[in-house]
Amino acid sequence: MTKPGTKPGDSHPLFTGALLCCVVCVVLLAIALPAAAESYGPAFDESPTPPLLPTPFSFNAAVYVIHVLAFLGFLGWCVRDLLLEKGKPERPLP
Amino acid sequence: MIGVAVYALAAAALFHAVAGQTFPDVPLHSDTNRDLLFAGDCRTSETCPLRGPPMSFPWIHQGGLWMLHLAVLQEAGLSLEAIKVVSVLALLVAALLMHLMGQRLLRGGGPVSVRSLVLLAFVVVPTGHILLPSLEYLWSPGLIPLPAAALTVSTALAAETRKTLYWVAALFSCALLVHLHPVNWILLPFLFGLWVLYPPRRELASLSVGLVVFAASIFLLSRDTFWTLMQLVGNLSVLSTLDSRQVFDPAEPALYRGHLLEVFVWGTAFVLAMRFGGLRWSPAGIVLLVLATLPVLLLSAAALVMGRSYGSYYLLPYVLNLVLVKALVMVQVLSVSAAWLTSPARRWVPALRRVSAQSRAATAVFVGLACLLALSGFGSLHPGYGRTGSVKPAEVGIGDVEAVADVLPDLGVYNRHQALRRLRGPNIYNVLSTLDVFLPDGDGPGDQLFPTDLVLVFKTDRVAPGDLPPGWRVVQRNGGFRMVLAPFRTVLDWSRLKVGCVTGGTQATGTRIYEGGYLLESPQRDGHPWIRGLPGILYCRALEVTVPVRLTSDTGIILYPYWHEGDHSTRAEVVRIDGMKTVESAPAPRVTIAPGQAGKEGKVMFRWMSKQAREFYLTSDMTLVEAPLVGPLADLLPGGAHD
Repeated sequence: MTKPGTKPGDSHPLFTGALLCCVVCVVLLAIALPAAAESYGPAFDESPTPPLLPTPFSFNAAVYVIHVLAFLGFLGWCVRDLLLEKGKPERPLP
Repeated sequence: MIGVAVYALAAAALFHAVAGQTFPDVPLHSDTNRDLLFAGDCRTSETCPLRGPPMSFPWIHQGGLWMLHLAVLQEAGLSLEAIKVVSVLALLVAALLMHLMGQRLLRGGGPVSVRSLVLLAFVVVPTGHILLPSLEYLWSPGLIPLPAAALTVSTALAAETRKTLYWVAALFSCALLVHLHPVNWILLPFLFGLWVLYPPRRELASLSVGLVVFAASIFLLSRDTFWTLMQLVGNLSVLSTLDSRQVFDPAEPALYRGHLLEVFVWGTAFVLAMRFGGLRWSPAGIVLLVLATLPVLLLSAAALVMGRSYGSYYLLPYVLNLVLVKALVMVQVLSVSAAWLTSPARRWVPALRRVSAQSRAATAVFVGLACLLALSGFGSLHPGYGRTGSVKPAEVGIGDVEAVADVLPDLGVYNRHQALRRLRGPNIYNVLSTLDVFLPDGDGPGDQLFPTDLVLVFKTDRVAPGDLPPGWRVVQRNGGFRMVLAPFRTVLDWSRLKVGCVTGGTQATGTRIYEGGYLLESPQRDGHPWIRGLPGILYCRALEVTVPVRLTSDTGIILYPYWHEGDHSTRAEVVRIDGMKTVESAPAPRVTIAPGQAGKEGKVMFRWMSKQAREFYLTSDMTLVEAPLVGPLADLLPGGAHD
C-alpha cells in the first residue's frame, strides 16, 4: 500500500532514514573510536579530559546570539501557523 | 483583537504573580554559584572552553549553553534578578505555546471562548506550579520549558504539515534541550520514530538538514557535549561503569512507579478523549501523547531496573506535555459533563454530538472515569515534580553573600582560600561557593593550613544590631534581614584530628575527590585546602572524627557536625565529649560545652552515619561547626529556639 503523499516507486522513508543513520554512525565512529582509544583507554576509571577547543568569548557570544535569533525565528514561525489554524473551518464531523 | 487582549491580560497577571514570588533575591544554590563562576571565567579569561559542570556521572559534563546564557546576559549588563526575569518570561512563552497547541487540538473555539480560558487556566497554572521551584534559584532547568514546548509544537506541526522546516526546528530544539541537560539525548529515538510515522515530503532533506543543524548546534555551543556523544558511540561499554552514587532513598521506587502509573492512566484517558470526546484524532495529538508519556516511561523504568535515582528536573521537558494532556482531558470532561447534565441538544460543544451518539450509559462511564482521574491526579499533580526545593524567607541569597564579600577584607579575609579555611556557620557550603564568585583566587602571605582565628557567618532577622557583642559585624539588606559576621578563636585542634570508619570500609587510594564542586576543577585540583594534611576520602557506612579540645576562656562552646547534602539516608551527631561538662548530654545533633571551664582539655567525637556505604571527606560541605556561646547564638544556630 502506498502511503499518502508518496508515489509508487518512492523509497520507504524508514529505509531512507535507516540508511542515513548508518552513514552518520559510520562517520561518528570513524572520528570517535581513535579519539576514545587514545584519550581515555578502555577502563574509564578516571574522569577524562575531552579535547577542548577554547575560543574567545566574543565568538561564543556571537554563536549564542545566532542560536537565540534562529530559535526565536522558529518560534515565530510555529506561532504564526498555530494562529493561522484558528481561522480555518472546523473539520466536518462524521 | 479581543482574543489578543485577553491573552495579554492573562500573561500580565501571571507575570505579576510569578514576579512577586521570584524577584526578591536569588537564593543560594550550589549549582547556581558554580555556574556563575563558570560564566565569570568565560567572560574574564581570554578563552572560553564552553565546558559545562560535571554531572554525577563522573565522565559526563553538561552542555555550555546555560553558562554562556549567564555570561552573555551579564556582559550585556543584566543583573541576576533581570536574568531570572528572562527565565520567567521563557516559562510564560512556553505555557502560551502549549496553550496554542491545545487550541489546535480542541479544533476550533475562539480565544475568548469559555473553553479557551479553561484551557489557559489548566495549562498555565500547573505549569507555573511545577516549574517555579526551578526558577527560584536561577537554575539551569529554568530554561528547559521553552525549548521543550518548541520541540512539541514544531514536531506536531511537522507531523501535520509534513514540512521540512518543522523537523529542522524540532531537532534544533532538541539540541538546545541536550545542552541544558544531557539526559535529553533520549528524545532522539522518539523523534526518529515520529519522523518515520509521519514522514515529511522531503525525507532526505529534512533528516540530513535536521541532523546537521542538531550536530552543529551541539558542537558550536559545547564541544564537551559533542565529545560525550563521541565517547558513548566509541565505547558503549562505558555504560556499564555508570556511577551508582545516587542511590534510592526509601521513597523513590514508589515515586517512579507513581510516574509509570500516572502517564499510563492519563495517556489512556487522552486516547479515550480523542476517540470519544471532541479532541481531534490527529498527528499532533499522537505527537503530544508520545512526547508526554514514552520518555517518562523509559526514564522511570530505567531508574527502577538500574536502582538509580534521577532528579525531578529530568522530567521537565515531559511535564509540560503531560500538563497539556491533563488539561485537554479536563476540558473534555467539563464539556461532556456540562452537555450531559444539561441538554444533549446543546450545540455549542462540538464534542456533544459525537458523545451523544453513544449510549447514555457509555457517556456516564466516561464522565465518571474522567472525574475520578481529576480527583486523583490533577489537583495535586505529582509531588515528585515539585521536589526541586523551595526557598525559605530567611534563606541566604546571592546578594547577601556579595555584601559579606565587601566586609570580609576588614576581618583579614582577602581571597577564596582564606575564606575556605576561616569561615564557618550554617549553610556554609553555599556561602563559600558563592563567595568564590566575588573573591579573588590565590593564597595570601602568612596563610595557615589550620588557622585559629575563625569567623562565623549566618543570617538572621531576629536580633537588633545593638544587641550583638562588640566586634561582630552586621550587613543589613532588604530592610531587615541581615548577615552577621562573628569573629572567634577556635578551641578545636585540627592538626591532631583523627578520622576513621566505624563499620568497616576502606580508605580510598589516591586523592581523587568527588568532582561536583567547582573548586576541585580549579587550578588547585591537586588538593582541596581542607583536605590537605587530612586522611582524604573514606568509603564506609559511618565515619567518626575525633578532635582535641582546649578551652582558653570561660566561654561556652556550641558544637555540631555540619552536613550540607542533607539526604535522607545520612545523619550526623556529636557522639560524646570527654573531659569537660556539657549542657546537653551526648549523643545529640548539637552539644554545648558548659561555660566556666577555662584551661580544660578534652576530646569531642562526631559521627556521620549512612544507611549504605558512601564516600566521606572533610571539606566545606561536611565539617565541624563551633561557635562561642555568646549573644543570641544559642538560639539562632541550628537546633536553637529560633532555628
